[in-house]
Amino acid sequence: MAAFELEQVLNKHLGRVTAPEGLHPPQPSTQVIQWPKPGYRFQPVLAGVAAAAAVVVLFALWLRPRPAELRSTDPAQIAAWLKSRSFDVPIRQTPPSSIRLSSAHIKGSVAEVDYSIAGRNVVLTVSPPSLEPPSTAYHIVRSHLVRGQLFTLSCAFPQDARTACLLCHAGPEVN
Amino acid sequence: MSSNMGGLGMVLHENDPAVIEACRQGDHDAFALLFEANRDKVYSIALRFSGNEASAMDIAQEAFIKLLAHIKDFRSEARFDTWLYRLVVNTCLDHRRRRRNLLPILEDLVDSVRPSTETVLTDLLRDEAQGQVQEAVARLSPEHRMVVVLRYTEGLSYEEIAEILRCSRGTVASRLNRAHKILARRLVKFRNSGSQNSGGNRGRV
Repeated sequence: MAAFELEQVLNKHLGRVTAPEGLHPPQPSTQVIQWPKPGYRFQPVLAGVAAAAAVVVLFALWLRPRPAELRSTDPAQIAAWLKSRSFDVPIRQTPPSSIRLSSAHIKGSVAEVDYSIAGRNVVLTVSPPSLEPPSTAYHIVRSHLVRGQLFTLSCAFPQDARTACLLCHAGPEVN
Repeated sequence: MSSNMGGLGMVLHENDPAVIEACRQGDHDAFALLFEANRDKVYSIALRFSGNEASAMDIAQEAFIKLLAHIKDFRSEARFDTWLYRLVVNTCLDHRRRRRNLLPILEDLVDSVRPSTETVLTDLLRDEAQGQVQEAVARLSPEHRMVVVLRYTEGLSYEEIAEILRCSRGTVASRLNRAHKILARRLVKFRNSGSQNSGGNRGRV
């Protein structure tokens, strides 16, 4: 087909048409929704308050008591870990061989040291004197105040009371 | 076409800068005038590009919604016609892109069987020759098809098409030349019929 013939055909068959009656102008309510909305204005004071509130919330979250735990059988490591968290617990570097440390926990203002004597569980709790001695299913064998901290020993078996003291104290002079 | 838009108190013509400015200020009467002035143009481009009335209606409606939403962005130093053509072209291409993203396989299938799916009603409503030309154009790539539509539906010059499509005049010429070659092959049955049938078909659409 020659070029002029093609142009004739295209001009004839591709011309404008009349739009159907169904095509109506869009209503103003058909506006495309945009964000921020047209009426939106940045308000520095509100933004500042929101930012300050966010900082306060984050700081409070950061400050909240967080449970912490150290699993270790090393007396020196546990003592150092507790000291770094403001609990001065005089754990002996070499307690009797029957004593085996397992872990230390901190919950708020209370520290716990878990250990065992010949496989029987013992818990040493260190807390502020203002708190009640911890409630436990174990037998509380000793509770005394040292340098402003309340030390409470709890044993699964009462017969371990004497040996349990040897975690921190040396010799038979305990009691 | 003219209108006396209450608050403005003057006679205005379609695509008149004053009408455009009134539309930018949110005058709904001015927008109605603009719509009436351009509805056939927008619909025709949409129809010639998409190849079917339903899609053309969707495209035209979407184009006018965009026009309403963005006319405040129109800068008066530009030509409104060019800006509107560009908006319609982009709407056509967006529409096709969305359809292809949604139903790529189905669209290919529809393209391949379109001649056999012509309904009796469509045959009655549409001239057969025109349908064949429209079909041949519809099978062009979007870039080639848009150049053909702007050239033969709107009668625009190469320079105007280049400005609308933001490409060079050479690119327009190249695309049109390529489209001509493809269409010449597809419409070979129209040889020597362009002038013979012109009387019978003129004004049917």
